[in-house]
Parts: sequence; C-alpha cells; structure tokens
Amino acid sequence: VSDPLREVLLLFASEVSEQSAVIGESLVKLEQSTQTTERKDQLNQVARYAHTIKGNAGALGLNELEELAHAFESALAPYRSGELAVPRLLVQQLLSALDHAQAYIDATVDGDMSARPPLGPLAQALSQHVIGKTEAPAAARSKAEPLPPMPPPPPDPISNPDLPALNVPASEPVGGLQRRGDDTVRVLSARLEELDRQLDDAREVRVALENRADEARRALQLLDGPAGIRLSSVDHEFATALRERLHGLQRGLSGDVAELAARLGAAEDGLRTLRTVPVDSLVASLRRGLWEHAQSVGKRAELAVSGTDLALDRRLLEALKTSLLHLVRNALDHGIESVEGRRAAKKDPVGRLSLAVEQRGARAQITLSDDGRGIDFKAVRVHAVKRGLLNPAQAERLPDEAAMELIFEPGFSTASTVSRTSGRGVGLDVVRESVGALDGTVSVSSSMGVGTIFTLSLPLSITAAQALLVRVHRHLLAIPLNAVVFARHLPAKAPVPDTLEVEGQPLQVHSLSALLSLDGAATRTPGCPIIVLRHRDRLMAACVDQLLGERDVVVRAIPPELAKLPALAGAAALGDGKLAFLLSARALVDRTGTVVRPGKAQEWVKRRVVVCDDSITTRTLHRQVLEAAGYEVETAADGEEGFRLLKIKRADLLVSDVRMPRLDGLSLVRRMRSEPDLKALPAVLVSSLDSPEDRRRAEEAGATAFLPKGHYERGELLSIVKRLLADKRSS
Amino acid sequence: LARKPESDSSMGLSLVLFVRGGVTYGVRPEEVEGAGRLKDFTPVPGAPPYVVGAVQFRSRVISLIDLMVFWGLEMRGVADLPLYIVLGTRGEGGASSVARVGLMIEELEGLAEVGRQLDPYQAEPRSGVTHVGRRDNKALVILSAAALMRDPRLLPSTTVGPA
Repeated sequence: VSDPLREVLLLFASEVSEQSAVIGESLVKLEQSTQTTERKDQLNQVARYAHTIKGNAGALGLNELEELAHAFESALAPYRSGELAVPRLLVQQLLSALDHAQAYIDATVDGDMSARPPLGPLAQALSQHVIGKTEAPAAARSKAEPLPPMPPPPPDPISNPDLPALNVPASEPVGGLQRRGDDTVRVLSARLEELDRQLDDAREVRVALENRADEARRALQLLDGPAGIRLSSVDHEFATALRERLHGLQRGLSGDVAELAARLGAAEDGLRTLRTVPVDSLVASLRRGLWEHAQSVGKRAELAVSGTDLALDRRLLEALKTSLLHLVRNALDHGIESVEGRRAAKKDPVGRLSLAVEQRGARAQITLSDDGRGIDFKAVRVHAVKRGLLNPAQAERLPDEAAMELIFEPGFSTASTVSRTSGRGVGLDVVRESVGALDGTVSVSSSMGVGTIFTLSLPLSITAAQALLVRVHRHLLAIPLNAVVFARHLPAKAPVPDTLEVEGQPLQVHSLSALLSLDGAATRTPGCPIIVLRHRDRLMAACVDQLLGERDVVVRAIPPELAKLPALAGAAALGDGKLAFLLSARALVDRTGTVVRPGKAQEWVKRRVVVCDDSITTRTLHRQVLEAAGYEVETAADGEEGFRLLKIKRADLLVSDVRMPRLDGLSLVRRMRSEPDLKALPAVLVSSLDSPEDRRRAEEAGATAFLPKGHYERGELLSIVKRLLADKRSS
Repeated sequence: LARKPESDSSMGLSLVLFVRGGVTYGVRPEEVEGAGRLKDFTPVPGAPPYVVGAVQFRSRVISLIDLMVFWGLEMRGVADLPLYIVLGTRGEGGASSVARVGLMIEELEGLAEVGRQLDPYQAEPRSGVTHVGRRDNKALVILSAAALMRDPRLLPSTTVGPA
C-alpha cells in the first residue's frame, strides 16, 4: 500500500472505528427499544453511517467491504419505519459484521491482505435475511427466525498478541486522529465545546474576583480619605488594624486573580492546541487528488510541501480542503503542460506543484505554486470580451493585475477543453467565496512560461481573533483587525468630511450607524472617529461614535436568525461576559466600497523582497526583520522556487542563502542576470562562508552585496536592503 | 427545570409555566434548556424588531425574542422584562444541531402539573402555539418549541456549499 493511500486508509479506519462505535451503540439500543419513534431514530442513524462507510469503501476500492455495508443497509431496510422490532439475532449478526469490517480495514491498513477476514459470506447471510424478513407478517415480529450461520468473529487485535503489530509508529499523527494503542486519544468536538464552556464559567469567576479586588481597593481609598481620618481620630488602633486587614485582603485577591488568569491562560492555550491539526493531514488527499487527476488528463506532476507541520483550526482545515483540491486540479488543467510540452519548453517532464505554509502573525499564509505555463493574460482579455465583461478598448487598457482578478469571476474559464473537475467555469469564484467565508483571502500571481502562484491568507483559528472595538449609539461593535486600514480621530470639532483621500483615492465617508440601519440619527458628530476598511481591492470609510481600541476576542457562532443579517459575521465574547457583534468587513466594503485604482495606489505599494533559504529559522528571521521595516516578503526554500517567485511576484530585491538544494544561491543569481527582467534586480547573498574566495565568487556570479551570516545580528541586512532599494528608486 | 415529565397517564401533564403579557404559557420540560435573570444583554445591529437582543447562555449566543412582537401583537420588543427562558429543540444531527431561542418573560412559575384536557389551538395562527387549556380558571397556552423553531424567521437561510 503506497504511503498516500495508507494515510487515507488510516483516516478511513479511524472514521469507521468511530462510526462503528455509534452504530454498535444504536443497535444495542434498538434491540432494547419499544417505542416506534425511538426505533426509527436509531435506525436512521445506523443507516446514515452504514451508507457513509459504503460510499467511502467504494471510493477506496474496498469492494468486499462496500458489499457488506450494502447488505447491512438492506438488512435493516424493512425495519426503517420503526414499526417492526429488529430481531435480536439480526442485531447480533450486524454487530458481528461490524467487528469483521473493522478487522478487514485494520489488516488492509497494515498491508497484510492474508489477515483480512472474508466478508462475502457475511454479506450473503445478511442478504438472505432480507428476503425472509421483508415477507414476514407483522404477527411474527417477536419470533426470531433462524438465520444462516455466521463465520466466527475475527480475533480482537487488542487482546490477541498473535495478531501482527500495526505498522504505524505510535507517535505518528494522522490528521489529528490516532489508532488504537497510541498514547493519545481522539476527542469529540462536543467535549471540547463543553471544556470551552467550563472555561467561560471560570472566566466569569475571574471577572467576579476582579470586581471584589476593586471593591477592596475602593474601601482602602475611603480609609485613606477624610472618612478614614475621622475614624482614626476616634480609634486610631482600630483604623490601623482595619487598613492593614483591607490591604492584606486586596493584595491576596489581586494575587488570586493573577494566579487564576495565568492558569486560565494555560488552559486556553491547551484547548487551542487540541483544536488544531497540522496542515500535513491534508497532504495525503491532495497528493491523491493530484495523482488521480494527472492520470485522467494524461500529465505528470508531483507535489512538494514545506511548513505543513503548522497547525490550523481543525474546522478551518476541513473547510479549506475542497478549495486546495480544486487549486491542485486547476493547476493540472491550466498550468502544468503535457510531458511533450514541458520537454519542448526545456522543463522537467514531471510538473512540480509546491505547497508552502507559513505563519504570519495570527494568520497562516498558504501558497500553492506550479511551474507550468502561467496565465495567458491575452487569452484572459479575449475571453472577458467574448463573455461581455469588458469591451475591446477596456480590455486593451486593463493592467495584468486587474486581468488576473477576472479569473475569479463566476463562470470564467479560458480552458479550451472541459475536464471533470475544473475548466468548466465553476471553481475559482467558489474557491474565493469559500476562503472568504473563513475570513481568508485568495490572490494570484503568474508569469507566462514560469508558473502561477495562488496565495491564501487565513486566520490560524476560527475562534480567536483580533478586533477593533467601536461604539455606535448603544451598540458595541467589533471589526476584524485585519480589515482595518486605519482608525483615527478627526481634529476636535472638525466637521466630518464627505470624502476622504486614502491611498490616493477619494472615499465617500459613510455613517456606520446609517449603513447598519441602527436606531438614532446617522452619526456625523464633529470630531468623531473615522475608520477605513479594506476587502480585497476595495476600501470604504465610515464614521463611528467612539473608538474603544484593539482586543483579542473569542468568536462565537450566532444563531441562524441572526446569521441571516448580512452585516454580521459572528459575535465576539469579550472575556468579561459581554458580547460585541462582529461585523463582516466583506459585507460592508462590498456594499459601499470604492475600488482602488492600481495607478493611483502605486506609490503606496510596499517594496517586495524575496527571501530564499532552506532553513525555516533563517527564512522566518529575515522575513520578520524585513516585514517589521515595512517590506512585503515572499519566501522560498530553494533556488528554483526563489527564481519562480522573482519572476511571478515581480520582486524588487532578492535576499538569498548560498548553499541550498536544487539550485544554490550563486546559480540563482547567475540565472537572474541572464533574464532581461531580472538583470538589474539587486541581489544580496547571505552566507556562513566568509573567505575572500567566497566573496569573489559571489561578486562574479553577479551579487550586488554579500553578507556573512555572523553580521546579521548587527542589523546590517536591513541597512543593506534599505540602501539598495533606495538606489533602485532613485535610478 | 430539566426534570423528566411524568409518564403515568393518570397524572397530569408536566409543563414549565411562564407568564408574558399577562397570559400563562406552558412548554414541555424537555424543550426548556434553562432560564436566566436579564442583567445585561447586547442589542443586535440591524435585527428585526422582535429580536430584543442577545445574551451568552452557557457560552452560546442566544437571541432574545419578544413573542408579542413576533406574533404581530405589539410593534416593538420590550427590553426591560426581568427574565428570559431558553427553549431548545434537537435536530437530526445530535447535540450540535440543537436550535435554541430565548423568550423574554415577566415571570417564571416553574414546573407544574396541569390537566391533560387540552384543546387544539384554533384562533389566528401564532407560531409555536399548539393547544389551549385552563389552569386555576385562567387561560393556559401550550407552546411547542419545535413548532416555534419551524417558523421561517428562525430557520437558517438556504446556503450553497462549495462545488
């Protein structure tokens, strides 16, 4: 069993194990149940799970298991109405079938096909029962009919030491799921939610304790004031003793609050970790999807990954899976050339897709790049005209960046052939929509002949977010911080302007109160604060009553009747029991925002630096230093990837290690110098090698600057980058 | 509140009773998730008038609804009622699919036994109201959380998943 398939099988085994437990429990309850409705509910649950197992078994080519699951479903079909009691013997038979199914899957995962119990006789026995039972009169319902003999139950892998050991290393996590015998357990999300609720209760206790500490402090202030002086003049000893006791109480309470807060923080961190799963868990299905689709379109490609040990919120990852699979298939359909095409373009006949995951603050950046033919902007423009999205003159004037956005238009596809999964006009718009629903963004960069990069930015967690709190009338509102361009007060008593110039673009200043149809007059109080929000290429400005600052909030789902309100994205629990409704920046900006014209915003565009290093530590270090200085940073783990980034992302400067796999730093710089568009690009080589010979080689290769790694700490990298980019601007 | 109803048919019907607008309402105990004193609530921006606000109830965000406005008997929800009761119904997807809503109330009478003699409600339709009866010579209106939650205004809108 190949590795990717084995990982899928492990997931399947784990899932079936959980579903079998529920089915088993339901079957037992079913046997004991006397109520029609209860029986019906149990049967529906069993049938749902059996159906899922059947479908998954079929998809994995486990035909015997698929047949057994089908017979399982059919055997229960006559009882689905709940009118008839399910005979005990049938329940036993079904339970036995579950055990056999589990043993079959376990043996398959272990690659030990000889240990797989035969499932055919079981399926046959269950099928025979179906025929007998459907024709049975209701009067016979309590009389158990003789059933065909069942094969003996399979040995229990836990109690039977003779059974081959599982090949899975005990510590190997697979999608956050663990096999039996591991020293970790699966946790139902409902249990996590319960734990979350307990933590919430504990947070309320903390708030109550803080209030008590405040009361003690106020009492002390009273004692220090005129009342205390009066009391002291009457009974000095008593007043002193009282003050000391209150001091002690207040100190003790403050200490308790700090201790509780620290323990709560640790528990919250622990819970957050439990909710997360490494991106690795998706890789198996992406590789499988890539392999299958490559077979169907007759191309060859492989998927390289880096940084996929970064853990994201499990629910976020589940929701992301479909989008990534679509992008992988899309890359095969539209990007990666045929084997002949790649040979003609002097490329490796096997196309390369790279999935890179990186944490950027409270967000994860996921890039999926391919080394295919890139997006043909000419074809995109022609297609946009054909579809009536643009007239020929508009298409002619449209910059490449804007043309790229067209591929996210619903139904937009330039593929000349329609494949099963992409190139049929459904896809990238759905990907953007799905990622947007997760508070994420998708952008694309491409260069003809070099490849395409899709960049997804997502929050690390669905439940934790940073928000700007504002007040409008009586409403406390939270705005996702990543959508806030800026928030500032107008000078005192200054009237609210009708428009505001942001990034060279005049924006109409709305009233948030009016936009949300809140009670009371539209807020345009002189001197009031103004917030500017961005979603994709749109900006909007609105005035509010009060800015209350940034806060870390716990995002809670809102009930369906509120989720219908377009401006609401959720509710933010503020930790003191209070709620603030979280506004959807997308809804506000899409409704009222102004598109930022690239030409006007040009001067605001950050300078882009490509950092190339095979060490994630060095990459991250460089990135953090450069980002803190206001640069936009793209990272690559080797020279090949770095070269592709330089071409596709239209970078302003390269910072690269020398020793790297696939293409080293010296070769990367040499290749840059042979490309007309990269010929003059500043390139800084950073190396642990510091001999005069190393410097000479770097210079000969065409490096603009050479920095020994030891000098990094002295802030030299930043000053070199600043200087080179300043030189570039002035030239 | 969460006590199981008595199954003995010779006994009365167990209901949780509450008062709103001077009328006593009864709801089956298994449809009651809890109740609370309204100390603080959050107004919902852009919500329809029957949604008075929202509260956190056991770490879940619950809408507080004024039935009088929901049924079109009054124009605007009353925010200064002292209590709320949370009703919940279990969907097909188990515990995670429980639909909940909070109702603003004046008084919570608690669990009581009422006579099983109830008449189907036949006056102008009010979401959730299924039967009427009398208790201590006063009108008693039976409310079904499941029926109330089937009102389209409380149902999720149809969404289309990713292709």
